[in-house]
Amino acid sequence: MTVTALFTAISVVLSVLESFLPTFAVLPPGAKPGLSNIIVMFSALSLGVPQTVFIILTKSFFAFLMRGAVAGLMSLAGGILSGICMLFVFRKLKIIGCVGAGVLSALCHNTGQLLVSFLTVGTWAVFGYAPVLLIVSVVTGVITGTLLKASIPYFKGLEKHFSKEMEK
Amino acid sequence: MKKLFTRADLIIAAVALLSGLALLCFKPSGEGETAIIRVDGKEYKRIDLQSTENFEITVNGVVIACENKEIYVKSSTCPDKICVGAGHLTKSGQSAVCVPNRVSVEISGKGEGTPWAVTG
Repeated sequence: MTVTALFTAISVVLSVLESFLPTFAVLPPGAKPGLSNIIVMFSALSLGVPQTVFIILTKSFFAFLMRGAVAGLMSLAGGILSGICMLFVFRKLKIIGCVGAGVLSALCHNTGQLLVSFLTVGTWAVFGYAPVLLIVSVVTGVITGTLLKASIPYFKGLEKHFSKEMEK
Repeated sequence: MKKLFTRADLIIAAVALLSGLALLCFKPSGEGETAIIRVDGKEYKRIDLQSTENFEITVNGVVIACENKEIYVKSSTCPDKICVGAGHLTKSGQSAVCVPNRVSVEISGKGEGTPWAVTG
């Protein structure tokens, strides 16, 4: 419980901080690095299915509160798709490393968001942005994947520390 | 423990990157004839680009302007301005979409009715 709450809080803080940052000079408009995905990936890797679902739902709820209904739905659709993908990658597909997981997670997230855009705007023209998102996913995915690999020991430490606290 | 980087990762990244680049190179070239403005997925206005006068209209906070047979999104209330970034539309198949305001502008060519259309 404590551990899930802690990681949920970290992921929400990361996504809120990210939305405050001005559009990254290197990234095209609308594209974000997806730092909170690092937490979802770690959760899928180490915490478990219900914990991961909880983090994704809370994250979308905060997106809904901060940026409105469309953003909330986009976050939810992207989160669910990338969550399923990450659980699968970390549990079944051992040949994929952290960078590959980051890229797949970003791709799934963008696919979910495009689907919601398509349903909201009602035109195939939204998929015109897909090529840009494909390229951006690779760049941001490599970054989040590398950050995930670097932070796993620290996250594991946190997880262990707070699970012990609970036993006392 | 998960490795940082594997051969499978390289393949995933390369496929995504290359398909993105390939799709970007695929540019619409046909002369645009009609501009269709859609709001909430429904057709709102259809403009014949060859015969239209210059104009400016505002729908859902999106200002769409037409100058010299080119249509473009001049400004929008949305945060990301991807629609404005789409620039001037002239070729068949080009489009500018504003997801937060649910407005889109698409160009269709001669003869083709509304190739990109779906009823929302």
